Amino acid sequence: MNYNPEDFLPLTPEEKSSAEIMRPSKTYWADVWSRLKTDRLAVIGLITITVIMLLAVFAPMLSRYAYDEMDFNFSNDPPGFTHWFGCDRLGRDLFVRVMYGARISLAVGFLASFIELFIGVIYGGISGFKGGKVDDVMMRIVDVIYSVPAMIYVILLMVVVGPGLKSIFITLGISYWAPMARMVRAEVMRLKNEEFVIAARVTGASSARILFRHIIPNAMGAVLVTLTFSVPGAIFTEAFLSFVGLGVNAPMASWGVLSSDAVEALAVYPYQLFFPAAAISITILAFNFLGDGLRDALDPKLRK
Amino acid sequence: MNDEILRVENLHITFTTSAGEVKALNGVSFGVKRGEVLGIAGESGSGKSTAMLSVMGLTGEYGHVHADKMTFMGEELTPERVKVLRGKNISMIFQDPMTSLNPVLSVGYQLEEALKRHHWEGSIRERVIDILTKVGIVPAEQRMRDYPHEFSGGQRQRIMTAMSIACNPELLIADEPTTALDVTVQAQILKLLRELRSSSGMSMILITHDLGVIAGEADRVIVMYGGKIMEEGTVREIFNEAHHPYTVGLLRSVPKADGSHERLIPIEGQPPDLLNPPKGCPFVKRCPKAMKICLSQQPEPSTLSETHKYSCWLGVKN
Amino acid sequence: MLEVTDLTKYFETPSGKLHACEGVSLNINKGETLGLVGESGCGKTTTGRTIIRLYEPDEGRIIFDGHDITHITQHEMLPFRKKMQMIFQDPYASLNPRMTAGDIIREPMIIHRLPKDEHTDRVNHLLKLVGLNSEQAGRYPHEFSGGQRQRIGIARALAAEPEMIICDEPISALDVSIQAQIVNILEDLQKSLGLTYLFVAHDLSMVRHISTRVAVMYLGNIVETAESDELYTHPLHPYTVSLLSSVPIPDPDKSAARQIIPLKGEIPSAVNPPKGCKFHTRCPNAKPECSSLKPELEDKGSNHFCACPFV
Repeated sequence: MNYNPEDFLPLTPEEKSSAEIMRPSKTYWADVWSRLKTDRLAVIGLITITVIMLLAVFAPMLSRYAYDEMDFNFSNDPPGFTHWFGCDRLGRDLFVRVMYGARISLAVGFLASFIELFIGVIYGGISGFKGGKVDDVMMRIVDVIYSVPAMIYVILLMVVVGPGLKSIFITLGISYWAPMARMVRAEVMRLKNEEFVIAARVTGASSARILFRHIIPNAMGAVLVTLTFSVPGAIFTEAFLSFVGLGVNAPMASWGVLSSDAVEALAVYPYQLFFPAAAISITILAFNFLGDGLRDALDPKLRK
Repeated sequence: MNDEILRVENLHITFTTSAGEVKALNGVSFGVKRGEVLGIAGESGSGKSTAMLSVMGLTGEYGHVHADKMTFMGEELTPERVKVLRGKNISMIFQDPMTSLNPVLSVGYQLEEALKRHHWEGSIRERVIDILTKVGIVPAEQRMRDYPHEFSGGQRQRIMTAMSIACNPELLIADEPTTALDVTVQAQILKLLRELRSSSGMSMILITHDLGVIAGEADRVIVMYGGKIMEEGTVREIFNEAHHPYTVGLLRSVPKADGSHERLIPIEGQPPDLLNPPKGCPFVKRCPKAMKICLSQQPEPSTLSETHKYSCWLGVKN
Repeated sequence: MLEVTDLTKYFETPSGKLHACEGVSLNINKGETLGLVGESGCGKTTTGRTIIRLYEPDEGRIIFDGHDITHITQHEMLPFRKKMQMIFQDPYASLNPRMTAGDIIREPMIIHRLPKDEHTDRVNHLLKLVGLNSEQAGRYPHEFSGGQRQRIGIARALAAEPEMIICDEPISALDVSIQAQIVNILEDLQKSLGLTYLFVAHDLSMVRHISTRVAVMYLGNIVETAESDELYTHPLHPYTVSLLSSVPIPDPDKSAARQIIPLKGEIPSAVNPPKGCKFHTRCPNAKPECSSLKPELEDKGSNHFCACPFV
């Protein structure tokens, strides 16, 4: 073979580094997002949730009917062009009522996760970080809170504040953060022995700094997944409580109330149950798809 | 060439990952002779373990293996054939014995299972006691009833070794067998492997990043970098007459055995990015003697002796 | 610089008291490197971490820079944390994955209240000092290779201008060709900044290369200390002799020529260590009295101390 003598000239440092291709910098969350995007089910879940949220906000505003507007001419009207989902016994438009119910159900879901995020993360964080006796006491309190069924809280609260959205909110506020606190505690326990936390201690970082700058940001992935999975739980709890008559009162509508109303007439007008039940199922399914996708996308195996 | 029990020609492996295609091996050829110890030296990402996993048919669903030729004792190593040979004629020991042993079964049971699977002729129980004694787990009758967590790290590696030699394999592939162990335990395990080799005449492929272990154990050495073979030769040719700049650099970056406190001469730069490998020689970015041509292609190996070859344009140039 | 006397640290475990380090005495002079070697479980990491007060010592005294820091509170420890820093073994685990390289290096400056307007300049200066460039400050740990991450760890340790650094196995997780880079950086920094190192490692040949003096640990005790070349050429304690003979030599001829002195059996549990000399269960020259006597470090001449009365 023949070679050009120039081929054997030594490489300059510039030429050497030109062979080096730096991958573009990506933050952790940008990386998670790029992986989440490739998960078809998670994207479907995310889109579904967004659509439901938009409908919940705008559909009742734009509709010709109000959620509590009765028109006995349309009593038990089947689905059609004027009333997409039909009407109930009192002639109220079911489409508007289901959309209005979405507001309540989503509000309950997001409020619950808000409480979880704040109380659960801080409580679990402190418990896991302090360890020892503090941890023992804090976790026993969680055990007690968690061991009382939500039903009992609602029934007790009904006596004090009466049934309605308020008692559901208070119930979720009291008990819903317990699993999150446990999960965060376990994460913190694991993370506080990681070398980078020890490194922060060696540097002289304060406990608050270690907890909020080093430990909690690294637990946020797991928190987010738990949060996504717990929203449908809260929605379902509200629907269930309303269904058995412990929740929202008429003429307000939630998916649970609508289902409960529809059951009476199930044999004759099955569509009245179908729409609220479908709304519950689709929402819960969407959140689960998203949660599954997030869990995979957050898998600690970073870019290989 | 007839006394070669394993022959691999032009082996390529590509892994599909979420971030793109990773070329783990790029045209690797080697052979192992009967009774010899082939040392494969290389750093993380050099492809040394991947090459062996592909011989064992263990690269998983994301690994695409292509080789011009892969034979064991003259027979083509098809996926079906590997399944028959694996554990019986070719066996493997890994770095971490704990992950290869089932924690809820006694070690004796696991050994018996392995023997049954390969249709051991004769008394299985006697064989288990025999090999456990051979690897120094005594009294074997008692200890075979114990579970993996009841043994120390060194003993677990002995048990793994027992399991891998249970069926008298012709070839033992040891992938970093002592990396997780302390030096005194490492010395014990290496001694054990040496004794087993001299009594059975089996061949061994020893994969390690530890040049000291290679120098002490291997007959022939392959030096790998970035999925390619940089240099191969007998252990003396590699350690005393290294030609490839990578081998030279690697040998220079460890402290001298005489304990001189001279400044070390490291290989500058960082390990290659397998997602974006250089087009030519994988070592080009870190090579002190890199030339223009090295960026675009890597030459055929230059032959220095019957056993000593290296892939570098310096060899072509001279 | 550092004077440790009879340092003892126990850990409570479900199976009993674990004697991680017992009666460890060592001193390090300004500007020198003391190598602390031993096999896994010998207590070398615990010793390092107790000295830097990550653990509360059970017995003994730690004098750093003339101050007794044995039992001071974490708050009182803060000014000493500025002077005594640490480099860790695992470059993957020792950097917070959610912080950029720049933020990681900046953190000690914030904690020790270095003037704010100097932070960015100092981060860039430190990056350059460890062989990285300032454009890399905005990148996250997972975008660096192992060797580069270890450089970030070194830059973080240097951020608060320490006088002493405890290096806890800083190279054992790195590739051979990268190890030499890190060792050279550590040596250069020692020269230019007058640093003192406690270099904890199990790689005996690297320890010999970098250390002025070396201490060998076995089951929580220091069994031998000497100048590094003296220790490697004339080891006295039977454990040191066996340990050194087991180190693989990257030279086939020398490797074939030397004799390995193997150790019997397994390392005993630190929860229930042997009585008397802790090494007597595995010692090739053990005598009957070894199970009752408690060997102390004795001066064997030329600054060579060994905890065995029979050598």
